[in-house]
Amino acid sequence: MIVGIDLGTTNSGVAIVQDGMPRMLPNGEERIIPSVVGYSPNGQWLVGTPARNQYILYPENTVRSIKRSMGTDLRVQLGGRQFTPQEISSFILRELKNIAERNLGCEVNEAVITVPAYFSDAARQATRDAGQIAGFDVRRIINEPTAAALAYGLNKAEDQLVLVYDLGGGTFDVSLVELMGGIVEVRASHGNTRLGGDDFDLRLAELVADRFEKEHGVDLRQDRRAWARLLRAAEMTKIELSSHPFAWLREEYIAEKKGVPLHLEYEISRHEFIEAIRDLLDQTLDSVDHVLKDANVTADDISQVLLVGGSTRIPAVWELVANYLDIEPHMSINPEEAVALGAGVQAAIIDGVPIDAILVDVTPHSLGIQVAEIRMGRIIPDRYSVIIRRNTTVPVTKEEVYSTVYPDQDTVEIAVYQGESQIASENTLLGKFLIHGLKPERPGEPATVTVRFDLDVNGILKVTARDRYTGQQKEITVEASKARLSESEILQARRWMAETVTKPEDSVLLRRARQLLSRDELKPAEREELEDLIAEVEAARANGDTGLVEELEERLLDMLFDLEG
Amino acid sequence: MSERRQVWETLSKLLTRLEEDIDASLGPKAPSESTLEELEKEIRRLGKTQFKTNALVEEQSTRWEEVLAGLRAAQEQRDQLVEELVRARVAAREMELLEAFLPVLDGLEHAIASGQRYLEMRDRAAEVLRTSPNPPTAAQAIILSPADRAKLAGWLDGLRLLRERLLAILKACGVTPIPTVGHQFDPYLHVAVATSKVGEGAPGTIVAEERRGYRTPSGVLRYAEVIVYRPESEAGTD
Repeated sequence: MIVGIDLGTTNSGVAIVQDGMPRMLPNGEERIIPSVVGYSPNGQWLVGTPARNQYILYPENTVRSIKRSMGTDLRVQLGGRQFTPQEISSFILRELKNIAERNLGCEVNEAVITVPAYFSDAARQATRDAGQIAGFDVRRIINEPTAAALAYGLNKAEDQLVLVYDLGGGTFDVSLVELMGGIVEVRASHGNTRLGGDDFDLRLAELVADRFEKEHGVDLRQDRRAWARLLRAAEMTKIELSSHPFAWLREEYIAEKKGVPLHLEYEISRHEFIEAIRDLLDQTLDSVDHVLKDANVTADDISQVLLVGGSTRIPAVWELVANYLDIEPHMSINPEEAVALGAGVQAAIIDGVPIDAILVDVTPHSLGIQVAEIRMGRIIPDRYSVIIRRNTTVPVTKEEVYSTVYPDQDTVEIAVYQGESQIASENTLLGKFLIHGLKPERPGEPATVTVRFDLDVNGILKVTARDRYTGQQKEITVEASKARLSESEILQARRWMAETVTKPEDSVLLRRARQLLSRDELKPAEREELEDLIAEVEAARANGDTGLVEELEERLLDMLFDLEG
Repeated sequence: MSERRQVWETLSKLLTRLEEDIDASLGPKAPSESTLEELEKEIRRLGKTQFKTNALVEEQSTRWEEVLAGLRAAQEQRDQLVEELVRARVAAREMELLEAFLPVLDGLEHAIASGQRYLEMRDRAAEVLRTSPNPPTAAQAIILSPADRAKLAGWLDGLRLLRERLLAILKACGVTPIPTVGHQFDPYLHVAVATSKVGEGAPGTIVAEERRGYRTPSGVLRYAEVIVYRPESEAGTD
């Protein structure tokens, strides 16, 4: 059994292909573990979450982000001993080996390990060494973007250029991958090793801290405990804003001023958050340009874009990349796991294990509502505003906010469509309803309505429209895709059929002849003759020579009739 | 089955024809050698067809039995899998819910702590006022009033009971707080968020809790965030 390993800067994970499907091997509740190694005062080696937990207490005996030092001469002091980066990495790899063995109930000795495309030969060799120290026979070192392409099954697709945009917790990479005859090759790569989701949390926390300071004259950054709470709340808010246009950031009793308790309570809009991180996002586009230039291609040459890394869950990232390259990026596979799953696919390919592409249940068509757009003061009716994009993994909940066209308008019609046309009525109408009694937040302004789409795995779509001011709401439930089996269900059914019902059509006569051979009453000469004939029939069948098969089976029938009849 | 019937029908037709032929040939002249041979051939051919049909029918019924057994096994496997999956999902969902519930408890604890700080501050102020030679003003009289203090203390006690109620629900679900202050730091239960140069007991003893942690019989639901005693002499000597 060969496993695939994503040995990351912040987190690492291990995956395999089982029953044709790539899957992560979890460590209890954790699907990935922090890439941290520590040595405790009582002489215990710690890897993953426990090591991360002691970092503040024993920083001198805890190592993080060792990946950044792979291939260098750095030595790390740990537990009174000097360690090379490959030795430190080997602790993480050994832990992953243990996790794999616990999950599979057998020894695991071979691995495929991923590295960033920009890794030098020395860093690659160091990674290979780390694997060997951990007790692995490292079957292959592959590039992370290559693994992502494999996870999406692109090695089976036609020859093309694919852009892999990988925005993780602390690093950003963009790579141009060329697929040719099933071979995946990285043409160019660029990135920023210090940019990721943590920076976004920080920006959001700063935004809130500034607001709080302005309001109460208290700087939360000066209170470690309050700042830690705010950072955590910022991360939660960021996640919430991926599926909702607004999110509340609430932390009660965060500070006190002259004995008076102060609370954090702000509603953050997605727009505010995106503005706060806009420059960081734009930086990633510079890297995209860099890669295109290095590979001497234009955006038109790219046929697919894959989004990898947890931070690509931010809808603005999807939009940014989609608008910039004019291609709808793929992100149906959990972006945090795509690299590990791809490593698992590579492992299965080497092992000769059959693989079906990673199948996830996605919505085949975009879902949205009919809106009117105001452009240059003119109202353009019958436009289509997409709320859930096609190829989004289900179940999913998405929410958007819309305003009425006229200030005194107190009723809107919510018409739900399924399709891809920008003109609403060219899509399939799934249902519509009216919501009355809308009130604006401030008199004279248009009222705002939050439209929420909840789509489940069975294609049942619940649409809820809520007046943001009065809170009154109305909902309908429609069927988005009718009685359609999900891809994984179809695959499962097909496999079952293949195994159980439609066994490859073997000749009845051949089976009977083989049964006869197992009996003792045959004379040696008869047995020999029957064996020869069976072999001949089998050979003819294998060659697909139907004429000969018929002739030989007629002889076999004669023989069986004489012997049995 | 229809194939079998067809064969039988063909057979019976042929037999009738055979009987007629025999009757006819038994009449004026004896059957010729060649007719007999032909008949023998015909009988053998029919026999072979019968044999092949029987084989097919037998094969068919075995195949059906196999498919049925397969279906039954698949159904059983499916039922078992569904049951396991449901159990795992329900457990995971329950834990998710309980975890989402923890910040509410945190907020309540912050509220109690804040109230207690105020109560202590008020008590200190009252102490100062009591020993003061000047008669209290109207505002100061409120601070000195035992009835006013009892109102605040009673209100805080109510919050404490509410907290107990929430903890009891968690406990019923197998979720208990992780012990911290006075215990040794354990990276499998605690996250160190700061160190303290002052403290009691052995180095590595927890001196304060910043966020309560909770555990279940199967593992940690949320790590406890703690401040750990680390004397100055110890730092950097490893």
